[in-house]
Order: sequence, then C-alpha cells, then structure tokens
Amino acid sequence: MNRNRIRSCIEDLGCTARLTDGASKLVVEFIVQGRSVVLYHPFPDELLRAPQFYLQKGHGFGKLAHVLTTEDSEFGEVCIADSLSTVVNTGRPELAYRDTVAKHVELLTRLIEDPAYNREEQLREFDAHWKILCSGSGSITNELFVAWEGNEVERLQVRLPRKTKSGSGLDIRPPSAVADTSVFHLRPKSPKRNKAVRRARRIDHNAVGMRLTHLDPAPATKREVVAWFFDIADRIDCDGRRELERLHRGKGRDYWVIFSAPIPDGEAMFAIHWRRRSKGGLPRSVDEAEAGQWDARPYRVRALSRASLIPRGGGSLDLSNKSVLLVGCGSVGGDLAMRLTSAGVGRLTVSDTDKLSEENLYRHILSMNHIGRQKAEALAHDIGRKHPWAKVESWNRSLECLREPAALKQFDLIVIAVGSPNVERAFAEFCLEESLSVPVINCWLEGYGIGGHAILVVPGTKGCWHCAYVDPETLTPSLLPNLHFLAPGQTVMRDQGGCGTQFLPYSGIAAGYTAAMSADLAVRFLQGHVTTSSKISWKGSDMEANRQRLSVTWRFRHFTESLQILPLHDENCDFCGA
Amino acid sequence: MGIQTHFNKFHDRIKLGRQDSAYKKARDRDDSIKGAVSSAFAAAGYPVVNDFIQGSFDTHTAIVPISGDYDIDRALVIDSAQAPANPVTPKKKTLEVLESRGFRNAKIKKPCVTADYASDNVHIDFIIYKRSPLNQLYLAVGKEHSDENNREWSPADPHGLTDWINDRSGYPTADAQAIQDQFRRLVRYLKRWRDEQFSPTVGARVYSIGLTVMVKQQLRHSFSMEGAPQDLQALRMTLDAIILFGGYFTPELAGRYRVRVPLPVLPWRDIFDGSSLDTGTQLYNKLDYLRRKLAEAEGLSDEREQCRILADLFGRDFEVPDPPKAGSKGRAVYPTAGIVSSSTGA
Repeated sequence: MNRNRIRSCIEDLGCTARLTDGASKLVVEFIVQGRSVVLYHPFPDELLRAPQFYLQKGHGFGKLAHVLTTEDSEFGEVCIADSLSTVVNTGRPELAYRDTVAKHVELLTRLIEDPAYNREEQLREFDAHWKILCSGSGSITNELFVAWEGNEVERLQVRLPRKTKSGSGLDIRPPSAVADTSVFHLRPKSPKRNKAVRRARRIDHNAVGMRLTHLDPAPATKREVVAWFFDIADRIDCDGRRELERLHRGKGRDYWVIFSAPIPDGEAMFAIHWRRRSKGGLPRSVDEAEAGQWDARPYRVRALSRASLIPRGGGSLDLSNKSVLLVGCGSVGGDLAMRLTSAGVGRLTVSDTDKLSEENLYRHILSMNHIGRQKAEALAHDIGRKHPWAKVESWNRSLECLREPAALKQFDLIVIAVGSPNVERAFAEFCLEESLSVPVINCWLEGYGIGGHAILVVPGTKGCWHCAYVDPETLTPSLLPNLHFLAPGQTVMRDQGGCGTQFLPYSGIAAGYTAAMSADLAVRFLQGHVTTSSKISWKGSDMEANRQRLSVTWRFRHFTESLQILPLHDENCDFCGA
Repeated sequence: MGIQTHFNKFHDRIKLGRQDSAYKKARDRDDSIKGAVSSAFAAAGYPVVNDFIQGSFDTHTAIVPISGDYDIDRALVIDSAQAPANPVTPKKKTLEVLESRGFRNAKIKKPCVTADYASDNVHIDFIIYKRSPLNQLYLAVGKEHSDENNREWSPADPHGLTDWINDRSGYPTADAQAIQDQFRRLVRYLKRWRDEQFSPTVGARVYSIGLTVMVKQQLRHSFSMEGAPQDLQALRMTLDAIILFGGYFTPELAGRYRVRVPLPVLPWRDIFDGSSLDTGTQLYNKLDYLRRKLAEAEGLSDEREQCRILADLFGRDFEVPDPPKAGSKGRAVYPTAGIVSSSTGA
C-alpha cells in the first residue's frame, strides 16, 4: 500500500490527513459545527476488510451512535458497515480508504448535526452497546438465555447452566464456556424439550420480566447503570410496577430484572442483576442502592423467544397456527417434516408405520440412534429438539388407514410422501368421493437422480390428482404420472439379494431436493401465495439413467421450468376436464 | 376432455391407410387394371419393369374422400432402352386399355392418364415413367395430340419427393416420430378442409402435394410439456408461417394472389404452375380465414364452442360433443395397461 497516495486521496475529500508513528498510523481530521473531529487508523498488514477508524474521545459531542467506546480506552471504534456487507478494492487501496473516510465523514457529521438521528441510531444499536457493558474479565460476557416473549410481565425462574464436558449446545449442554452464564426459563412445567433447564438447579425466585414503553440509549459506562436503571424504571407499565414493588418489598440477595423495549428495528431485551451480601428488598433509588452496597451488573439477554428466533431463522410466525399432516416419513418425508417446522409450521403430525433400519441411513435425516424405532416417533422427537415451538405428534398409521374424513378435517394441509401411486390413487379417489375439503400435496422422486415432483390439489379449484395421470399420448387416464422424466414400462428398481430386497436407487441429495421443493410448495400454499391446484418438478441429470440404458420422456427432454409452480389442470382429465 | 381429444377423433375419422377396408375395393380394381396395362405394354415391346403407388399413402397423409371417390396414383415404369421416343405412345396404350375395361371419362392429361371406374367410385391416375440405366426416372409428359414441343420425357424424382416428405432428420431424434405424426395429421386436416371449403373445380386445383410441401417446409410443431400433441396450436402456427413467412403467395392487382410452391426435388418445377389467379386468391383468402378462426378457437375456454368453430372449418367429421351431464363424477378408467413398472419413491 502506498500510504502517501492514500493520504493524498483522503485530502481530496477536504479532510486533513497525516501519517504518524513512522507512517504506521493515519490521522484524519475534519470540522463539524466548528469543532474538530479526529479519526485514527492503524494500518493493517493486509487489507481484508474496510479500513477501521477510531474516533478520539473528548470531541465534546457527547455519546454518538456507531461509536463503540470502552471506559479504559481513549478511542471509540467507529462502525460504518458490517464487514460482511462490504467488498474492498484491495487492488486500489487508496480508493478503499477514500470511500471509507467519506462514509465516516458523512455518518459522523449527520450524527453530530442531527441529535434525533443520533438518538434513534443509538437505540437501533442498543444491544451492541449493552453488550460492551456486559463484558467481564477477558472475553467473558455476562449473558443469559431467557425463554420469554417479552410481551407481558412474567415472573421468571433463574437457573444455573448444567455443566457439560463439551460446553456447547443449549438443549442439553448450555454454554458453560461462559462462566457466568445463567438460564432463565419461563415455563418450568413444560421444559420437556430443554433437559438442561429442567435439570438445572433453581437458585432464585426473584426474577421478573417486564416491558418498557420506550427506551433510552444504553449508558456509556457500567458506573452509570444504576442511575440509568432508576430512570427507565419510570417507564415500566402498570403490571410491571406491581411486580417491581413486590421486589422492593422482597427479602432476597439476588434480583434479576429483565426488560424488553421497542427499538427502531424491533425489540431490545436486556437484564440487570442486583446483588448484595445481606438480604433485603430491591433498592428504590440510587441513594438506597449506594447505601445498601448493591451491585448492579448488566447482563446481555439471549432471548429464547418464539417471536424473535423463528423470523431470525427464516421461519414465518404466520404459520404458527397451521396444522399439517405428513404421511410418509422416509427420506423425502423426514426431510420435508424438518423443513416444514423450520419454516414455522406450528403443528405437525407425522405418520408412518415403518421403522428406521440401517438400510435407510445414508439417505434419511434420522441418525443411527433411532434404528429400530418408528420413523414417525423418532422424527417427532428430533424435530421437537430442533424446533422447540413446533408441536409435533406422531401416528403409527399408513395412508390407506388414514381414509377417515373426521381424522383429516382438522388439518390445514395433508402432505403425502409415500412414493406409491397405487395407494395415492386410492387416497385421491377417497378424497373425491368424500368431497374432502383439505388440500393435499403428493410428492415423490424418480430413480437415478433424474428428478422429483410434487402436486398440490386444492379442492374447489381447477385441477385434480387425476390431471397428473393423463397419458400424454392417448390423452386417457394413465397408471403413471405424466410429470415423469423416466419413460414408463422400464425396470428401474434394483435389488441387492433377489426378491424382497428391491429398492429404488436415488441419493439423499435427490431426496433433499424433493423435500425442499415440496416444503416450499406447502409453505407457499399455507401462506396464501399459492391458491390453486399446482404442480412443480425439479429436473436432475440423465447421466446415470443413460448409463442404465433407461429412456426418458418427452417432458424430460423439453422441461425448462424446474422449481416453477405450474397449473396442475390438464384439459384432457376425465374428472375435472369433462 | 380437451380439444386435442376431438382432433384425435377427427383424425381417426378422416385418415386413410393402405390396409383400410374402404380402400380395398379401389386397390382390387387397381391391381386388376394394372395387370391389363402391363400386359399391353409388354405386347407393345416396352414391358413394365417396376410399379408403385405414388402419393399420399407412402407419406401417410391420405384421407377418406368426402365424395366417396377413392383416388389411386399408379406409377408404371418402363425401361428407357425399350421406351418409345414419343412419351405419349404408352399413354395412348393405357387409354386404350382403360376404355376397353369399362372406365369412363378416360383421358390423357399432361402428366398422366386418368379415368374413373364406372361402378365403384374409383378414380385412377396412371403415371408413366421410363428408367435410365442410372435409375433416373423420366415422366411421360404430353397430351394426346401434343406436338413435339409439348411432349417430353421429363426428369422426375417421385421417390425423392416421398423421401423428402418422410424425412425426419431435421427433428430432434427422440421426438422425430411425434413431430412427424403431427405433421401428417396437419396435412390431413388441411386436405379435408380443402375438400370442405372449396368447390370441386377449384379444390381439384389446390393440389394435395402443394399443401403437403407448404406444411412440411413451414411446420411449427406444438406439444405440451408432458408431450401431449397440441394440433390446434400447431396448425394455427404453421398456417401463420405459411401465410406470413412462406413466400408462397405473391400479391397481384386488386387484392389477388398468385401461388407458387416449387417442388423440393427434381425437376424443381412450380407445383401450381399454370394455376389461375383465382385459385391463388381463393387459397390465400381461405387459408387466412382458417388461421384466424383457429386462433379464435384457441382463445376460447368452452370446448363445445371450440368444436363448433372447427366443425364449420373441417366439416361434420369434426364432432361437436354433447353438453356434459351435470353432477357426473366418474371413476377413472385406465385403458392403456393393467400393470406397469413404476420409478417412483419417497
């Protein structure tokens, strides 16, 4: 890097720039409201991210957003963008520096000149500032998990983490790497999915979650936390005040107060742990706190909140009240079930009569731990551990035994992943005869990774199950779907040891594609984005099919609409085309 | 049931194959008279060395005639070394035999000898070729009293024309049969449309081979993603191409058109050579009307309405279905197979 060229480039912006400490540092200075703003930058050995600048304290502008300060440093780290969201022109570093400084000048000028913007931005980054306050010795941060939605006042129970050897994973192994990590759990009576919480030792009752109507930016230092606490306590709503009053009258040594509050882009959640040697009520003022020698320690809150974690993981809260029946828990169904709940589906019933065997392992989502166990039951177990807000039930019933309108009407959607046209036809005819109003998705794949398909039948709309079974040549009903990519009448199954050992050759990847595609169709339907009977396919390679001397269909040769949702209706269908 | 099902039914009604019983009587007459003509040729010193049925049977584009008259284009080949210098000579011999065997309206036309069999609605065209040592065929061209300037042994390639029509090499290999089948159906539809929409006199001049060549050259095949034929769309698109891009119709004065369709093989002559402006104009206007009506049918969702339009164009063999019975909900009947291998899994 030619540092003189960098300096020169920055001066072109109208700033003062100079190299110091043997040109190992860059000092940039510019004027806002008649006062000098000074930025420091230590040159890195290699420019792998946007250059990091530090704002010198004592500028007299008060606390600024996007400037992270610590008590023991005379510089504040200025954050202009997440390092992941910028790409740096390392070939022309002077341009990277010029643009970075320009962004600093623009941001800091606006923060200084517009106090309202500065305050809003401070609230937006509340968690980042609070996190600094929560830093302990070394890299340890005081933080706790809170299973609280943050909406209403709740009395919470504080539990210590269960110590484990591996030190990772919340469900069974809370993060013991953080020495002072504690776990709050909201509903001690239903911690079935969280063994760690259930087993952890309860240490205190005096914890309350309460909501603030509005929030101030986080205090700059830990010393300001006590005063700041009593300031924001004025904004607690009525229910919260009653609980706070209870704490004031309490007789404990530890009080945990967890707050939720609105910030510009969502919700902030944070906690303060009050502690002293002797028992007594939570102090009511700064004076009481000092007189009582209370220690107020800020805690970062990692919310185990349905409302925050499901959207954060890409799921949709709108699906929380949706109920889906999934029949078939094979390699497609198993994967599909996991994807449905990861999308936010709140209630899932999985049904299969099959048990997991060692033959399933390499293309099934379940692990060896479940060999010999009912697939549906094992799946329900694993999903519950992965997606704690999903209510998953398992049934040991086959598709043919599920032809009971009363049992099916409770569902918003039925997904069938059994890969058996015979049974699926019988079920489709049952649905027609019973005029079942529940929409149904059938999904399956073909051998040798050539592709997979899903059809959605929405009763009352154009297109039915039989539309997928119209022979394209004769335009009459066919035994095989017209979506297929492998030509009919060929032997596709393989066997490993004669009769009874036949299997369809396909990979876990093919099953995963089919599951993802079908889950997407299901979610789009449940969200109301797809409202009519539809079909969708993914097209793979015919390389392996060619090797097996299998011929492909017209559809395979001409199909260019992979993963596109298409109308299911076939005008030649005897049922709905008549 | 979709519109293609109705096209399929229509096609089943109009298609004519070599083995169809309706055609058998014509074939019997043809075999009989062919033997008599061959004997006469042999007696005259130019024996028949080969014979074949020329025309739409070999290209699978023959249709059942609405007039009930079955046409046979019978080609007789004599050796060039024994062939008379005057190409009209064997044609006169043919005429003699036909007249002596009860045919009526027998006459020598420029490319053939034509006659109707009196009692069986059979119309036979005898086409005489001579064959060179290099297997080149020459067509006997000339009328009964043509002078030397109007008669000749003209180079011809009837087999090449059949091969050209049956050629599928321009289509993707795996789809070639389906596309060729659709081509043949489109030709049959157009031939039936011609028979329905033109007067017999003008219709006789809208040559089948002309329609066939135009469709072959401008074919726009159409299939659903699943591979189901879409003949309505294919025919409309093909006609669009014929009218808009084919270059077959040349505007003349007063909104009239001349039609020219060169043979794609030797002797490369215009199939419609000598045809009148009236023929060209009628063909253009009716083809244009046809494609517009097809487009209209395409845009309709009511199947019966579609069929009504198509029946107006193609005649009564294109059936308009009865209205569906209200509340009918059947069980699927699978007519194609009792058991079939499946490639599905989950």
